[in-house]
Amino acid sequence: MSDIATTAVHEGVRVVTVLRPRLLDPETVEAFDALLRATRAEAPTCALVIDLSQVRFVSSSLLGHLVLLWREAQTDGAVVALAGVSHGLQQLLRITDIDRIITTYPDAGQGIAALRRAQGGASG
Amino acid sequence: MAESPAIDPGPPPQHGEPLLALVRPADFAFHDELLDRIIERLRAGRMIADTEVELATHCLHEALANAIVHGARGRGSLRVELRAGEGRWSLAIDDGGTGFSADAVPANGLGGLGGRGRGIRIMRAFVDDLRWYRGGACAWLSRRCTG
Repeated sequence: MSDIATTAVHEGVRVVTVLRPRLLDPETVEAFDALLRATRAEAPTCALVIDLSQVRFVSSSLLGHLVLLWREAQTDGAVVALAGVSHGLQQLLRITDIDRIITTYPDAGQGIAALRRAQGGASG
Repeated sequence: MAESPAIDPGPPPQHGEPLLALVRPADFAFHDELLDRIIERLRAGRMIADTEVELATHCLHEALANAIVHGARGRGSLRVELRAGEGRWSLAIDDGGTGFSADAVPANGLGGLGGRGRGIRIMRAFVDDLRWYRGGACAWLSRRCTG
């Protein structure tokens, strides 16, 4: 089990919950990216919510990984969204224009509900 | 699109008075301590407002990470100096390396700063002035005091 994030499936939507307040150093960023990719590989067409409610700081490198992940999901017809984004992280997403492509939700529950509707209420 | 970085062959400006000088190995093991010490000093000196801490942290992380990754990671030291005077503060982060050429930087910014110039955009969103001295080996950030 990773100490960086946990994974779960809620109502047919995969949820990755980050457990650390900082995703800054390259080792942590690479490990988190590997976890996200493994989660996507298990179900490439499944919607994915990344819960950042416990995260305060992220690196530009991590933002780059999130954009790549989002693009790959788009290719597979899947949706990737962020949830629980703090004011500071939202500011960072705005500065880097990532808020224009990746949807954010106030919390994981609202993200799950929205993505479940988007994928037609699939249950598995 | 990010602007090309400004690179000067000389040393960074020595404006104001030195407030903090730290030398640490160029390794991410020391990154958090450096970052926290700089932020603490900026807050204690009322050089940044409490509401600016998050963006300041993201900005300074990008500068430190760039110095570690592109400087002398695992081989040398980072020299960090915070100075203030005349209503401004400045931070010099010298990686002890040989610097870089603006010609080698992609038009969309420093790729190592997260790709597509995101690191530079984050830094420029916070500081008023961002330059490199000593041929690129020393990042220099400056901002008016707002605390």
